[in-house]
Amino acid sequence: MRISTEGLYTSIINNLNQITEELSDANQVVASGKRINNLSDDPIGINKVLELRSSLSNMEQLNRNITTGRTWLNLAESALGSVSDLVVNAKTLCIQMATATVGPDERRSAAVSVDNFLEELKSLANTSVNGRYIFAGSKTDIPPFEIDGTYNGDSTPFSIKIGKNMNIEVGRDGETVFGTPEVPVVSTSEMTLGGGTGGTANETYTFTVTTAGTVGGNDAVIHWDNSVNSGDVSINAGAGSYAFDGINIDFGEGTLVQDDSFSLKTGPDPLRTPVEFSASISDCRANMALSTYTFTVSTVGGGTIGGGAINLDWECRETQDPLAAAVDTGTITIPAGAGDVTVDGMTVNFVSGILADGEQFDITTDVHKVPTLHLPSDWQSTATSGGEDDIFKTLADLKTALEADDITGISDQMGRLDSHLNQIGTKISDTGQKELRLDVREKIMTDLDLAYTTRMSKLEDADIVEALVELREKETVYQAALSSASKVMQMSLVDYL
Amino acid sequence: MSGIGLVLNVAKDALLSQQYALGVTGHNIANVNTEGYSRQRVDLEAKEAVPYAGVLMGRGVGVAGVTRIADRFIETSISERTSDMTSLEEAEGYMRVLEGIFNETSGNGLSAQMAEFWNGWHDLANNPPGDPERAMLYERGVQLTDAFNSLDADLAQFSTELNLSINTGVEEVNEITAAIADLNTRIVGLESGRVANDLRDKRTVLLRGLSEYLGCKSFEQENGSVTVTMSKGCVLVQGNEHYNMTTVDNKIKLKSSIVSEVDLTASITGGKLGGWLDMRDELIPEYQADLDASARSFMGEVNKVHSEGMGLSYFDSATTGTYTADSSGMLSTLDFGQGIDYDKDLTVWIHDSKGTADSIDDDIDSITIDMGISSPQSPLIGGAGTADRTYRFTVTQGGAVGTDTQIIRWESFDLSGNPVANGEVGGVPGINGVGSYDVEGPGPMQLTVADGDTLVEGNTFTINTSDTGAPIPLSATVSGTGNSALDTYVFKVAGGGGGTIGTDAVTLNWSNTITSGTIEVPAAGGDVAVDGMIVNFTSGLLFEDDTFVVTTDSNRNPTLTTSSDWHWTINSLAGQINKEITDESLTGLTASGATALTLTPDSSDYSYAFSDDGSNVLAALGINTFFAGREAGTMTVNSLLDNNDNIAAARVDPEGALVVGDNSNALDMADLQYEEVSVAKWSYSRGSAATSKDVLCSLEDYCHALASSIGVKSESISREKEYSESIVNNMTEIRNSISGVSLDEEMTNLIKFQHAYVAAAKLISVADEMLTRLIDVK
Repeated sequence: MRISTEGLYTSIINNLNQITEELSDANQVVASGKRINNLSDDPIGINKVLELRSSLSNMEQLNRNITTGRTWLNLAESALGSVSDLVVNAKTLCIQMATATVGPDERRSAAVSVDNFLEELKSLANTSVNGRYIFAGSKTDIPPFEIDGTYNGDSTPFSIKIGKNMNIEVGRDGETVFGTPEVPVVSTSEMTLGGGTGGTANETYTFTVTTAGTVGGNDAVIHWDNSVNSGDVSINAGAGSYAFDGINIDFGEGTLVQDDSFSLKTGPDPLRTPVEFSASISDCRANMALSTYTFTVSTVGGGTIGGGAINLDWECRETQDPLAAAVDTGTITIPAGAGDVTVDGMTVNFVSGILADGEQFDITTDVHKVPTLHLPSDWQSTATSGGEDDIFKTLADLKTALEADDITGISDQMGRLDSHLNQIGTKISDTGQKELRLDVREKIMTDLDLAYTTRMSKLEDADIVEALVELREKETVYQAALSSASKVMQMSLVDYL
Repeated sequence: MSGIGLVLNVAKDALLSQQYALGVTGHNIANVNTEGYSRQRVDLEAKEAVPYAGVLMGRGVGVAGVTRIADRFIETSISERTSDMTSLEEAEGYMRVLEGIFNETSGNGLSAQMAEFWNGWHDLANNPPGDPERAMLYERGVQLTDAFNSLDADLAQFSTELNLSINTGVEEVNEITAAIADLNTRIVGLESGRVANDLRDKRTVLLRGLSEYLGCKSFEQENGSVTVTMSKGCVLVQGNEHYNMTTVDNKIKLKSSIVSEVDLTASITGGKLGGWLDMRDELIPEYQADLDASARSFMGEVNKVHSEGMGLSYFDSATTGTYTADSSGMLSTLDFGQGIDYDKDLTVWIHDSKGTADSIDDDIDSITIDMGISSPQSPLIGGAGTADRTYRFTVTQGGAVGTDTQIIRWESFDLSGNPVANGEVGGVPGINGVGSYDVEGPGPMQLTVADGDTLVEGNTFTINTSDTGAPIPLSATVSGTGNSALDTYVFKVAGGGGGTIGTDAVTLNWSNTITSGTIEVPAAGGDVAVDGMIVNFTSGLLFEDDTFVVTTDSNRNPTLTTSSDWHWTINSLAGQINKEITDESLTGLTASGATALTLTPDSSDYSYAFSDDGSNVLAALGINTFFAGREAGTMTVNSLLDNNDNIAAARVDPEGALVVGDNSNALDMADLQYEEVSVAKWSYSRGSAATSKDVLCSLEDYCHALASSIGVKSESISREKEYSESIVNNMTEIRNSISGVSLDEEMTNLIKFQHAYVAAAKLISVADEMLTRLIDVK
């Protein structure tokens, strides 16, 4: 092809321009350490980078929230710990002062220390973080408790956000801590299956306390029903056996709490034998604390424990977070002859029972990973019962009794102090659970943070070795182009004429 | 002629011809760097032989002409490709700047500001009464609005700059076409059996220059002139004529003698003008509309949540909504009227002794406004009232027809808008069952209610009567799909544009969130096209400023509501609030307003608050909102929040108390960042109307996608530009190979012609010697 002088120079300029641009790009990558310097460098990548960056910023914020939450919870824990100590001290004082060997003067001086306890209790109940009272519900600006136990806060505990649509209460409704104790109550009457023949075969019988009372008292009533029949039985003849539609159940001494219930199943005709779902957990620890293990029968048609083998699926979730994805899952098989089954560190001994396909029961673990088995044939209860008085009143009463030298009055307070101790104890363990939950969230966040940062770096950051090699390559090309251009440009026929 | 004479003559011609050739070679060498110059070649030819001494004797050499070596096809192709290249070059340049403006890679962009804003709410939730947290959140709100404002201003600046460039470009084009027409004249004049080589080169350069500004085609005529045409068959140059383009109101028009004035704005493609127009009319408005859409959704959603909560205390001074309805006062004409949920309620609290909300006692009371719409939505009006009146009906006592007694108050206004009469429909005791109830007039005018009808207190409608007193509500249907999804089109009768549909032509102005226009309802009524929809007008009597609205859903399906349907206006809402306060035997707060709602406490002893606003009516009115403004450019933090205590972290509790440590509203606000909300995504195309569709995504994701889409566009423009640049380079190489001057070649030619010249000179000296010898013989 014919090459014109202008063409020669134009192509040199074009080529040099192109190589310079490439060199400049390669240099920018090396200099900035970033693969993406402009939106157009990798528009799809930048979209992901931006999403990751938002998530990271959000997680950083959530971590800050968790730190705030932890400050509140730590303070609450230590305040509650001190209250617990204080109650223990008060109880010790109670025991000492209730003995006959102590004289009225000593009791009077003890009354002064109870006064100090009250003052200390008030100051603990009015614990604040950065000027905000943690036992005041949402009314965090005014001291929630007065010395006579009057509560000035409200019942909405202060919450922080620890994730999408996920809030955690870090403050407390002071009433539930220092007010009249609300303790869960379960019927104490122990029931034992005493055989008999149920009225209906292959049926689930549910027994519910419709009138509360004491076994041996006169007016407790238990209502039973299945899908076909129902009836009421008065538990009015003291401890002993009562017949429900042909099923005999022994009730031991104890109380029957309103709405408490349990259930049994009956076997096939003709015996229609009632069978209690019975199992126990030996002294052991689960692998997960504060979790709920839910077991679901997966054998088609279910089965009888001790009959054929029964398969169960189990899932483990944080108890506080029942809607979240399962932390762990597995399957177990109750062997044909019943017996021990090992699940996630626990050993469950299955004794008897009829299980339907899809039927569920669960095991919960506390903060120390100690498991509790919840079976339908145990008392199921949601009731709570109010104690007698709040802790301020109890201490005030103690003080009055001490001043009045009233020994009965003094010993009366011991039981009340115990219930307060229980109440505080529950809150301490609940606070511990919440702290654990924050720990779990933080751990998840730390892991995600690392994962996101890595992914972002992969998308955004340049592979420095590759970038340097590329830069070197472009440099070489550029030098070669310069050298060849300078040689070509020097040559002309004119020089030889 | 004697032999020696012939030799001398041949030598003379040779000498002259070679000299001519040397001259042309010199011309080539001299123009080696001249733009657009095509090398020239001397065509030497042997002169015709003459018979001499019985043989045909050659008579030497002569110059037949000077040929310009050029390929017209290549030249034309280069021009066309140049158009593509310059168009993309301009677009690329602007996209680079846009990328810089929307640069989110540095971490200071819009989405980073949004993240900071959400984090501010988290921090406030962690310490609801905290002054530093409130101040910080306020600042972050301001920074976010600044970010939106400045992006919008940058885009607007772009449009302004582009307008300037386009104006200059048009002038440049006019100069070039004038120069081409001038060259046409000169070339035609010079060329008669000759070719005006250098002028043609000049013209080629000008044609290429023209192509740099716009895509055009050129055809050479037989007489040597070129005709230049562009899209739509418009002629720019023909012979010695050229036609000037003009810019009027940012539109490019061409006026030629052949066709009447043509608007070329949408049809110019290629060249710098094409690139600028693409940017100005397609890309920039699209990004601007998307930015506005994200600002709107952001404000809308944040305001909804914010207006559900309260600050640290009740409001103790008057509040006026930051959003205004049009003169009709219809709530649906509010900027965010689309978001009102008429199935929900609003609760207003009044505290009757000034003080902090902590001292809650019996002094706090609440009223609840049912924001429902009466059913059926179109009330049945018949008979005849007074002629030439506008009747307004307002429900003052609601309920279900047949079970309760309802009271509807009517007022009539003359054509100037002055109140004339009023009363209650049906008189005393009101509407107490199915039937028709008299209003007034000779007919009389009657309102008919049926079994199952429900009347909601505070609902209102208006109806106009003709010169015979007949009430004629607007009857119209709407079909098709609007171009803008989830939007409100407000139609308003233009000044002096009223009349009776079916008899008079009616002029209506309409507007939605991004555009507006004017339509003419023909005298016979019928179909009128509006922004993708067809409105069919059947009948109706419309006075000046009468309003009706069409709302579109997320699928862009339109629904028409006229002012003769039951609806709410600012006025009726204010009336209803006042009525509820009276009904509840309360005092202390007065609502008022025609286009914006104002709530005024009666004295400094009273304060008020809001809660449970599921209807979002407060957000639409702009009361107790975080942001004010309607799009990215006008977005600001509501001046209400200049007092940081008014940032709503808390909610009024069921007893009417505001608890200082309550962070429930702040927690909900913080959750908004994860929520998928509906945002409009626009697409613009030059020459056709812009359309939007509704996308569901989180607000931050929308910004990410916007930045990403700018990157994608920029990348593809760069790639296309590189491709078209390489084509132009290739073609230029081919053109240079054909027409470019090669110095080596010319030097060789120089030597070649020099030798020939020397040889011819030698011939003369030989002839001279021959003649001398001959003379010496004597």
